Amino acid sequence: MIEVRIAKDLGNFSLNLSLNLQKGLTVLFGPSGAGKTLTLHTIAGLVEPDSGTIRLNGVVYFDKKRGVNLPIPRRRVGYVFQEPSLFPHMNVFENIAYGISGLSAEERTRRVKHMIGKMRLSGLEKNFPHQISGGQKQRVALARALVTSPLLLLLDEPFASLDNPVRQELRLDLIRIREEDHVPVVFVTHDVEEAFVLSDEIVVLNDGKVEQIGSKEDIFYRPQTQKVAKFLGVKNIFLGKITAIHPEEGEMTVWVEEKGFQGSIPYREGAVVGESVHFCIRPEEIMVLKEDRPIKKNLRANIFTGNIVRIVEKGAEHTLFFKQNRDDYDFEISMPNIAYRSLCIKEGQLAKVAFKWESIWLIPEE
Amino acid sequence: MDESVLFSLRLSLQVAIAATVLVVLVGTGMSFILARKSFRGKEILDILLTLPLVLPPTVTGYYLILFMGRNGLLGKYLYHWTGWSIMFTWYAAVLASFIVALPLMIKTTRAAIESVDQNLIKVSYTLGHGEFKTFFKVILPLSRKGIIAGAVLSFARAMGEFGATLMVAGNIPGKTATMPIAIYTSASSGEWSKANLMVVFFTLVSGFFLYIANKLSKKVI
Repeated sequence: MIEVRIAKDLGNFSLNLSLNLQKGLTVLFGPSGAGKTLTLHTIAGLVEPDSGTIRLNGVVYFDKKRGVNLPIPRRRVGYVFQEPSLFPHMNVFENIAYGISGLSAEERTRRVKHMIGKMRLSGLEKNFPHQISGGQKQRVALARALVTSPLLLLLDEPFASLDNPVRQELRLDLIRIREEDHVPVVFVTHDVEEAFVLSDEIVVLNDGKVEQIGSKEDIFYRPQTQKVAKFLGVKNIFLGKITAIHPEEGEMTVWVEEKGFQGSIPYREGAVVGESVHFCIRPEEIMVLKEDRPIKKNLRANIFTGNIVRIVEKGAEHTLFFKQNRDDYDFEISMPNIAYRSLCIKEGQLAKVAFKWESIWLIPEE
Repeated sequence: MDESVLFSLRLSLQVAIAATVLVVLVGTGMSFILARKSFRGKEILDILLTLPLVLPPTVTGYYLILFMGRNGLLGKYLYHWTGWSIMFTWYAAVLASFIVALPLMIKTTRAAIESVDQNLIKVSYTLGHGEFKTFFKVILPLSRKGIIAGAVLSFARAMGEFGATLMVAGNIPGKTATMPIAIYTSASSGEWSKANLMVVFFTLVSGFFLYIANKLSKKVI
């Protein structure tokens, strides 16, 4: 589908990418200043890379060596900015119709009307941009790009400036459009939830380079570097020192100096005693043990006793902060409301928590 | 009313309208180039086009003679091929008004074009429209206020043009004597009643045009 192999030096920042995107909706994820927007700009032709190639469906859009740089209007790449950027002197209908060319007036009207229905904009045709809401504006911007049947749709944080409920609605609109049109999309965001909900594939960018590419499961559950884990807001990341290895049991023991605890984690090929490793455990993998129940064997290596210092309700689940002895908390634990209620636990209460060493993810990182 | 007064009023309007049409056409094009293109010598072009704003009109007129006079850099070819010279015709008055009014048009229009949201222009490109169509469908309608303001200023400046016009078109009663020049002639030869009449007339007509221009520019807001 789309192959990007480019370099661009802006003096204080340089972009150096090699991407081959095959999936329907790719999310470009990363902190501010990672080069996400610049990447979209080079694909659209708004910025010319210093070197490299860009190809879409086998067609060369840019090739520095061969001197190819397809003009923006001929790329057929739709672009939606964070700000809707509607033409203020045109009404909704005219805005959507703007990009259609080479068609009869009837066909043009038919297409615009179809798109207006599809994007839930009926009745607003004659309104001007300043007369409609933020969410409606962004739907017009999407409709305006889609009606031209682009080969690729580039969305640059399109929902970032909208209220949460509107943002959620527009996400669903986007998912629905994708199901109907199958237009490939590259979507820039720094919103973790958005990345998770929308993506077929995620590219994590940092400082102009790719940190990791993979499915959302790969990225969220198996981050390859500490940075990726941090950007995604992965909880419970620890730095431990290996104190013993047991390859035959597929396990090794680590000492986490910062938090003052010892734990058991999965064995990694080639690990040696004294080596440092970063590992993480997802908040939903940590269990709060009930006093009266026998402890399962696979939990025994990682049992901790301490206090629940804080409880936060987050919609359908509760987040508990557990602490053994040091300052700050040690683990963030999350559980469905139903499980939380059956525990009858309160802030400040003594508790025993445990997790299986198999559910720990060792961040590979060189 | 004195026939010569009416003539000079008509000539002034004729010159100002012709000069304004030229200024709008050339000025808008130039403003687009200065606002959106980068090329070598852009700064020099900008300075050359702005100079008539600060130079004494007599200096601008002198340059016009150097270029367009019968023995001027361009004028001599024109005379050689056609036997005609622009000097001392009402076209020369138009040329002089055009040159002195152009910087006013460019300053306001350039600022208006530069203030058009860059993203709108980018969006237009990504929707398959090239520079030409983007200019007429997006940039021009969105900078129309600046263009109208520029046109009004240019018209006012052209109406009042005196120094450069005198240098290149001269003071030929019934031929090139625009109203400001006729006022000068009357005042310097002591025809006070004629001068008074023209001054009042000129003030009223200019006031009327400013009123129309204000109305027009309010309408587009």
